[in-house]
Amino acid sequence: MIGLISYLVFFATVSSILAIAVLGLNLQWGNTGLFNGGVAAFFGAGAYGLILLGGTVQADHIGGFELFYPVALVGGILLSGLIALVVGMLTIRLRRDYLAIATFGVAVAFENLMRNAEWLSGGAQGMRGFERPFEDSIADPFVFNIIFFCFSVLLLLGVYLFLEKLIRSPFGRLLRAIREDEVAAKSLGKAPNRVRLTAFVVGSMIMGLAGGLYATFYAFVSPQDVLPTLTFQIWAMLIVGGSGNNQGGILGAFLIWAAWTASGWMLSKFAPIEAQLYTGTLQYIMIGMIIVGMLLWRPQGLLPEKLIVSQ
Amino acid sequence: MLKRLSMTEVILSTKKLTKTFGEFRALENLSVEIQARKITGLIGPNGAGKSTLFHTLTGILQPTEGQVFLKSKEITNFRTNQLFKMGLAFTFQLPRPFKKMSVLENVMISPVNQIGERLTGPFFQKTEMKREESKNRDKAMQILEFVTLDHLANQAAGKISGGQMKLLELARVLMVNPSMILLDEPAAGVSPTLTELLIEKITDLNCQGTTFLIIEHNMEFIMKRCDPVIAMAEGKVIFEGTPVEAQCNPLLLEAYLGATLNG
Repeated sequence: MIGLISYLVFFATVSSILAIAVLGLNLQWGNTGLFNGGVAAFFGAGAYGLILLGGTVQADHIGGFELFYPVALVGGILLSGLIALVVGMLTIRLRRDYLAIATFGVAVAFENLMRNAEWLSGGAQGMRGFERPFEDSIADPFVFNIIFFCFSVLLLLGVYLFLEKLIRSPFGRLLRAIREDEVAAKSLGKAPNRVRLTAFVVGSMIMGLAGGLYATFYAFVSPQDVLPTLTFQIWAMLIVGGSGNNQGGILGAFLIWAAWTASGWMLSKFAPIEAQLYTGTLQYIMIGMIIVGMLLWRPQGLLPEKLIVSQ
Repeated sequence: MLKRLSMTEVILSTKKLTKTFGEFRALENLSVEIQARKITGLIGPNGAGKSTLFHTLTGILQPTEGQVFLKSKEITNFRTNQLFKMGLAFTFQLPRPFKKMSVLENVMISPVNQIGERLTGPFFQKTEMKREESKNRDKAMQILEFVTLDHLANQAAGKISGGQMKLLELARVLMVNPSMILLDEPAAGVSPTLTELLIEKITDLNCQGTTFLIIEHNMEFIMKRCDPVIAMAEGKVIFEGTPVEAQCNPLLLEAYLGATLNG
């Protein structure tokens, strides 16, 4: 029983962390229409930034500044924001598919940099040596996980409330107008490029927060954590849950993560050995089919965007 | 005659405006003056360059040569968003509402530099933002009432009729009390009842001092409400005068007739 609860806590923690990243993407795509195909890079910047700043000294790569945890976490978020700012300024004139390709390229470059720049990131081995806050004082790992779960949910709630307030404000109205028709927004005196950049940076910082929490939870980050698979999963979560609806995004995160882990478990349990070799690939196909099916039969997602009539 | 001239005030003008698309010269050395507080009709056969002139005046297109002035200020190469802030507003030939937003939201978005449009506004200037929002909402409702769309305030803008979308676009620009509004075929694709309403609203606004420049193919509209009338053909102005003069002008008849024969 305790094993099951322990697993559920673990599952819910990862889902909550991924849900934060989905909310970041929802600000960019759901509300502003920015196709970010490089979620993994911004998530990864938060994760690497945290361990770099908050980890212990390592012989083989830089970092190990052992900063106070919140400072390290914020540092990771700022790193994501900084990368988003630079990428955004270079690509913000690009529309939909072009922006997607450009940001996808950024994510691939980021992953390759982390994999190869050993002095910076520990290379393919990843970065270790991070001591989770309070882990020493809380001896029982189960209790620690429950506390960390609460911490993650609290942050998820905070991000949710922040974004809800934002999208219901005139700022959110402006984002939606730019998403709907940029030319018309310009004709009404708006400056779409600046607003798009703001949404891109804020959304990416939220992804950076998710990455920081993820790295905290595992006390480790490696290039395997910032593969394009992650971008793909986060997108699936938003599409299934309902683009433009924050509650939908959270729901999608839990559902897709459940489908992902359950399918992995079922394949390892019931599939023939030959098929088990391809577990990851089969999971990919499954998620891909879910996305295509959703787009065909319910493109608005499980919880569609609501018309905001007035505040 | 002299007295009449001295009373006119030019709000928008162009000097030797040329716009080319490759070899094609859409506007050719075009100099025109739009008088303040009037409803100027812009007519001409298809391909005459009316829309190109419109787009050049509103900053959607940049002229190849020549200048544009708003009152005495040169605005050549200014962008649409800058011009809107300076009181020069326009609507599109094919309406472009923000479809997935409510009709009310479509109108409330217009005021420039809203406190709540800044990222920090909703968090650090809540009171000011709320005050501004409620002021904007009241004004937006009044304008929606003026264009008879108030009963649709909470509808998605993509779900109203084409004619209503034209009214909505007018409502959107009215939020900022522009000194001049350019309308591109406001009556095209609009039912006769809504056209009547639109004409009435334009006349009302004009009485309150708003200048209009209107491209229109609906001759009844032009003859009834526009004075002066400017006619274009092949990128040039071929006529400027009263609607009555326009009706008897041989050049104008030829331009239209020629276009019909060729087209």
